[in-house]
Amino acid sequence: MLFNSFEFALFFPTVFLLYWIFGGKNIKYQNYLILFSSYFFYGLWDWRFLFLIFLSSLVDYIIGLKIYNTSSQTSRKQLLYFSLFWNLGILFSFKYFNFFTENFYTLFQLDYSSSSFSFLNIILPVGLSFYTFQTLSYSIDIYRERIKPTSEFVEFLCFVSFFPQLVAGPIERASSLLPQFLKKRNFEINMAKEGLRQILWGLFKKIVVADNLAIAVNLIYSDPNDYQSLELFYALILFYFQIYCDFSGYADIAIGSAKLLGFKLSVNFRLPHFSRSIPEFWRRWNITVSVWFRDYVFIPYLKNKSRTEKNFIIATFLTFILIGLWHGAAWTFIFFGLFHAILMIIYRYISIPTRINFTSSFTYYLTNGTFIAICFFFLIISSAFFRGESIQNSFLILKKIFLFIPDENFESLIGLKVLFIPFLLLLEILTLKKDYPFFKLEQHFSKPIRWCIYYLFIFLIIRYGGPQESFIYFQF
Amino acid sequence: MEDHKNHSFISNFKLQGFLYHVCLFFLPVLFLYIGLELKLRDLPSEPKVKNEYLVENRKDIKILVLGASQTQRSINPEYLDKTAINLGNSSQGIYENLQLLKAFEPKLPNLELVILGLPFNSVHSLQNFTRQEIHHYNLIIYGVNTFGRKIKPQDYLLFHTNPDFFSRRLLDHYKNESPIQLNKYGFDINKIYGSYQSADYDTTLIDKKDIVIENFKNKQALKENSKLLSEFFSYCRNNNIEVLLYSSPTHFLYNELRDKAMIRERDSLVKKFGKNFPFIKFFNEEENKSFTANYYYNANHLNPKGAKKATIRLNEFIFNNYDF
Repeated sequence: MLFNSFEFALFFPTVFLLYWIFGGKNIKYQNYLILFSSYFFYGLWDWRFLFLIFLSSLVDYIIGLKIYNTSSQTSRKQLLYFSLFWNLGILFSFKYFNFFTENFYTLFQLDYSSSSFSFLNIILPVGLSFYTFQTLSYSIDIYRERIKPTSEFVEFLCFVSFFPQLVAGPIERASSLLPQFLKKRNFEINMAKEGLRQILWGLFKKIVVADNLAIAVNLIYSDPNDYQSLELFYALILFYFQIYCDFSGYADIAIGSAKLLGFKLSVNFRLPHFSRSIPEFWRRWNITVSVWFRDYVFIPYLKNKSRTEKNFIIATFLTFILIGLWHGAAWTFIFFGLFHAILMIIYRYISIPTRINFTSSFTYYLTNGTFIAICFFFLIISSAFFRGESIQNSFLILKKIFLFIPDENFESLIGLKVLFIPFLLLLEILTLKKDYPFFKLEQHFSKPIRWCIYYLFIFLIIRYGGPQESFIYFQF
Repeated sequence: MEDHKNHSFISNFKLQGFLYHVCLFFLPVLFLYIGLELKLRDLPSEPKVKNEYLVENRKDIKILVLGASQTQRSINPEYLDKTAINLGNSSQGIYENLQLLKAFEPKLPNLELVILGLPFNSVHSLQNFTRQEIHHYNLIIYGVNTFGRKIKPQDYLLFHTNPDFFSRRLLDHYKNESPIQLNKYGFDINKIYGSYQSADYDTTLIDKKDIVIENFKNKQALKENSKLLSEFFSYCRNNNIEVLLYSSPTHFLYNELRDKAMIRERDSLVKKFGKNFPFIKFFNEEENKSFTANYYYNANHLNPKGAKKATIRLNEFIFNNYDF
């Protein structure tokens, strides 16, 4: 069930009403209702994978308790390894087995047809990378004694399968989400209003911006040979905004829906295109995933080694290759990770301008703007790997862009709808310090004006919504 | 306990207020959307006029025309001697045509002949090639499910399927500038102003690069469409209905761009079916050179003048080959 579908428009209000009318009286009712709704939500894709998510939850629930109750360090370690093996094993089987098998055969020039191995004919469960990482962090945090395990099984199942963030994040830590299931939620009108506003903003980004940009992006990427430098560069820019609006739009709807149910989820995006450097970009883009890799890969690696430049470089490469692979089992994603790792290392030696370094505001903003533009250029280039259908396809796009072949018949393909990008940027610039542009709108506008703003955005969604596209991050 | 009850009461009170405001807010949106949908159903559209004609003349209809846009724009039932209806529609694939046949055949007691458009690339088109609004129109106007899945409540809505298209239609309607002029058969007799008219029908001014042609081979689609065609013909045989496969004239500039292998595949498929279903005939007008540029809307669609000529030729073919 997509957030931008009619099904969700029926599903969510039903859950909301049942949740507050019947579940409002008792925490158990609330959690049972969330669990049932989450499994229903997930089961609509493929009910068979409900067993997988249940089993995955059960294993980590038991292991979490066992790690906590075991005093022997060796046993604790063994239990943690089992959890890692279990979670990563599921991820590997469903997501990476075919990729590694195929590359193994290619690398050693083996004849696949004569081998006894076979590729697994399986589909990737939606949101697997998200909920696996969530359960993994639960076991690791218990092992590190940062959190205590819960003995409430239903609440734990809710934590793993909470439908607003189940399929595309934000990836929540047990320390922040799990306690919210352990106490009764009371209806808070301001939180509900914020939730609705954030959903509206998310739907605008997804339906009006991302889905319209997808028309041009899909067309150009399907056969880059037919296009020249300018069109391809244009497509890369469009793709950046498509994926940003797609993913951050999803996050806004997820956070907004959770707020309506009385939950607070982590912020996942903070205007990443205004980053002045690649490290800053990763502090603003898909924040929960980059923080996950920082906390569970990058820092632990460096902790176990001496803090030399060489180790820093190795840790950076390792982290970013894994971030690339997390997105998908393809060389394009590995190259995406590698490209960002190189930039992360380069940016380590570049100092980013701060206000103190400048006497004139103009020079400061000009330098700042230049840094943002350069960083954005790198992001655009890296998106060739992210979106490319193959590594050859990505390199072909980059080659054609840098050959500067003029386009005789340049067409924008989506016409004036591209103007939604400057519109979006303008709103974001005007509301830079807010979580999202509609945040606490009542502080600035009276009710009639607020309602006019909402109606305007609903009009934009209905009138200018692009053809329905699935959320890009669902595949990860 | 008292505190808990108090809190629940306040919470419920807040919830009621919130729900009241949400309903108040969404009510105008809902009313406007319903009004919009009703208005769209009220606007004259090809399916609507065709359905009205069908309802009035169902007992007299002897010919049912099915196919995609090439067939839709090339057969004007006005110029056929026998009572006919053309249910061809833009991008309508073989699956959709089969569903329409199955739905309408029982309602047309005197149906004798089904004309199915079969351009060179039609057997290579996947079902998802069909434009979404066609499915919605088929369901809302004809009551036929061509989605290839169970019906969902939103399938009964039109606007969201193509907001650009329907906004333009509404705007044209209110400005009294609708370019559509339908005859009683639901055929648009005003569809003249295409790319060929823009080039003043001068073929030297028409750039081949601007010609849109679906030249993509798709083995999966070919396999699926072969099965569907077989089902289509079996259905007709079981109901004693003749089948005429038809490919409308296409301009020579378009013909030069066609994939020859795709043409061969379509032709050999027709031959193969001809052996199993001897009642099938194929009237292929693709390379008819008498259709000069001024008969075309664009490279593969006739304008109303071309449709008149093509329908008269088709009428002759029917007269010479069928005796109903």
